[in-house]
Amino acid sequence: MGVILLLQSLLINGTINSSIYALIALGFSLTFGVAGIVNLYHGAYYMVAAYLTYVLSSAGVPLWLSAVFALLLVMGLGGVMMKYPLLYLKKKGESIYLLIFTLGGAYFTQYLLKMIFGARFYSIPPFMDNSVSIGSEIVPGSRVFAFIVSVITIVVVMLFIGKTSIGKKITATSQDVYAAELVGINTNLIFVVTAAISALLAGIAGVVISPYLSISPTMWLSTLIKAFAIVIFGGLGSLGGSIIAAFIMGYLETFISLTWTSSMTEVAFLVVVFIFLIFKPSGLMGKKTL
Amino acid sequence: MSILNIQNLLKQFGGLKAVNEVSFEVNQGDRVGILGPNGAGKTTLFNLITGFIKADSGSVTFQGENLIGMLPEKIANMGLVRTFQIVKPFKEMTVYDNLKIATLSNKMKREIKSEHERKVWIEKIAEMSELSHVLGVNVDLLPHGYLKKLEVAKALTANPTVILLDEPFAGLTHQEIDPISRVIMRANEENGTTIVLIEHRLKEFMKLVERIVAIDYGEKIAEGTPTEIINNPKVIESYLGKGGADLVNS
Amino acid sequence: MKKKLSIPTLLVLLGTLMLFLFPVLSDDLYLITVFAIALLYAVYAASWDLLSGFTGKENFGHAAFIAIGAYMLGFISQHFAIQPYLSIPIAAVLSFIFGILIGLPTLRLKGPYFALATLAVATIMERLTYSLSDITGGEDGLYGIEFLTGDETSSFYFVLIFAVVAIYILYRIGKSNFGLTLKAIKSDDDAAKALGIYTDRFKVLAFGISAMFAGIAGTISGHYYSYVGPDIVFPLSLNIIIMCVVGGLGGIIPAALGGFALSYLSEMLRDFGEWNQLIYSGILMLTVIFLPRGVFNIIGDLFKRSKDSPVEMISKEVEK
Repeated sequence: MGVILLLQSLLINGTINSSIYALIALGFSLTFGVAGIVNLYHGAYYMVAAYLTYVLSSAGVPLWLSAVFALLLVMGLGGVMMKYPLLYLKKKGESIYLLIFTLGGAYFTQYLLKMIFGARFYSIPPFMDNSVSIGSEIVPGSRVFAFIVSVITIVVVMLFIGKTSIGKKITATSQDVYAAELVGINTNLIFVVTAAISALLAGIAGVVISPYLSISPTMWLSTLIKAFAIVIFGGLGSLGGSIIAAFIMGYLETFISLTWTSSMTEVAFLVVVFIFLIFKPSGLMGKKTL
Repeated sequence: MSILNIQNLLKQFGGLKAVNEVSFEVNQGDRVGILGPNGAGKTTLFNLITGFIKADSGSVTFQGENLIGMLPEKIANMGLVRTFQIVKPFKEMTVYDNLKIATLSNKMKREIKSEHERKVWIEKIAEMSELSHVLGVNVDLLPHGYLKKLEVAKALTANPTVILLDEPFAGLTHQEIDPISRVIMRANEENGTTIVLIEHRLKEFMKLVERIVAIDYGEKIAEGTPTEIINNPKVIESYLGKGGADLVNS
Repeated sequence: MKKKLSIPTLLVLLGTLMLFLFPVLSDDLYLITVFAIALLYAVYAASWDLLSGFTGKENFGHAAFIAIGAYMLGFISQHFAIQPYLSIPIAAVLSFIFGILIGLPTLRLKGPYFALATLAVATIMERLTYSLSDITGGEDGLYGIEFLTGDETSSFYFVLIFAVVAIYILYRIGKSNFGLTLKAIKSDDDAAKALGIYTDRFKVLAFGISAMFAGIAGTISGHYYSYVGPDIVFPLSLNIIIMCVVGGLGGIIPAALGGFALSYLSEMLRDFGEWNQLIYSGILMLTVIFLPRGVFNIIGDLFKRSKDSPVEMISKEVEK
């Protein structure tokens, strides 16, 4: 492949993929930064939103509406997960139980969906049908749509956290839970809201990729691993770090799949993560800054 | 005979000199106190001496060797053991097992020849530390006063040449302090253990130590006997602020 | 004064005895196989507990160690029919070294960081197994491995004796001063250092031992099935965690019992098809919430005699 074509494909596809990763990683990072919880169920929101959208839209509900309902449900799921099991386990202390519970929950969801839907791959119709030509590359409308939605969502979330009063409460809680409580912030509520937002972000990602990537019961695992890897790389607790890391990893993955083979991309992710964990576990952006 | 020699020990955190060229000597069998208000740098000093933080410059000579750069475990194996201000018991274990850990270092494994000897040693320390009656109790059930005692006992079980005690009386009532004071004296008088003690509870401290090094803002501001120190104007000022000396004298 | 055997110990010994007698009393080959596999799982679980239960560093990639033992056997078997008496020592050495190699760089990591690092190692191995299918047999795995012995029953006894010996050794290690030190390190690393314990060495050694037993069990598993493949190796990482958490951490035997019981349960549920996995993960979630100490730990606690409460002891002291 000519270098120009390669670069073009890298730029376009890399950017699109990275924006999706940023969306997923952002949600993961948010829950950790604010509630101190590594939620291994995160990938499941991505998956559940996709399935729900499929179910509703194939039952005749308009696509847009299906997506909205699916996202609302997933938000609710996220909130409920936090409110009951997650906060309970967090209070008990040892983080291992949280890791195991959330991971077990994700597998439970996988097996449940497999039982209901079988192992076959599903898809949903695209939100945006027309393709777009950028340079000499023809990009499917669904991918462009995914990119646009991701970017808008990320910007909206960052603005929400930076500018709104709830957003400021979230920031405060992420810096110091006790101090936040002392000034009257209902931190439990903030945790639940944060979880709902995280789930929403993952859900949006799941919905927008479904037209062009397949919906399957195992789709959550590699998404989770990538999100975890990106967030570690970017620095647990730093939202900006997660976004930057998502783009670096996204371009890297696209590069590898264009020049080598796509089956090694996950290995690449993990090798990068492993190296970071050994030498700089605090990641690119280090400490908690949100 | 000098057993522990600290020379110009320095540690900086950013622009702040937490420990600023502190020097003092400790002789074998001494009971030395480190005195100073909160934030003076006393615990940082201990951390530097025992290897938990790496000093920027200066030297810590113990048994003829410079400790700077050595791992804390190595230093402990040489016979220099420290306790922590906030107690660090080994949870979900009995008092006996807590003390037993101290007998499992390389140093102690050389000194103790059999499991029977180990048991005898642990029971001896327990008796000296007034913990015999709770040896079989799980430390998670013990009140704070006992945990402070255990903190000292653990260190003593390692048969140290020098023991560095970081605020062993913090958070205790006078009744609780007496037994620990007794334990420390016993260790010093019966076993010849050299004691270096951080405290800012003056009354108990004064009875226990023979010589005091006073620290403030990371620097040594005075050294002398307890009587000399409490009358030292700089020391008074470090606690009461400028003009404090006049306040006391008036 | 001889210590009386506690009831839990008696029950475990009784159960082991029954396993020894089982092939004599019954010729249900299917059940014998189920038990053999359950025994291997018990060893996997016990080996995980020594590292993760004792040091508090939860290994999310234990399958990597099992894979070393299993695939080493697979590779060699493609070229010559290696027997257990050779393959097992090789597995022991290789997996011990591998355990040390993983333990060293991950020393500073804890909690989710450690989990991710170990998960990364196991997942990289898994992906490579699929990619380098020329050597590893890819998703089909490797066949043609020497069986343990000539027949089912003696193979079962081989596995049984191995499991009893391995678990017993791990149990004794856990109860030893080494095990006690690991727990102290888990509780407070700095306090242990302050007493002269070289905490890093202990943690790395625990890694090596844990890996070694897992690797040997992996090799034995390869001989038992005459096959190694990604489908029976890599999903083990999570399954073993489930078994240990459900069984109970920190005592080797509860974890081993958890491994045995859940493996058996899983086999019994096999007829339910997909419900099997659903129930499995459901049990995990419920146990974590309601019985975090682990089923067998809790059962063991019920039998322990209560000691003098410290409040009484201390007030006695005050009266003196």
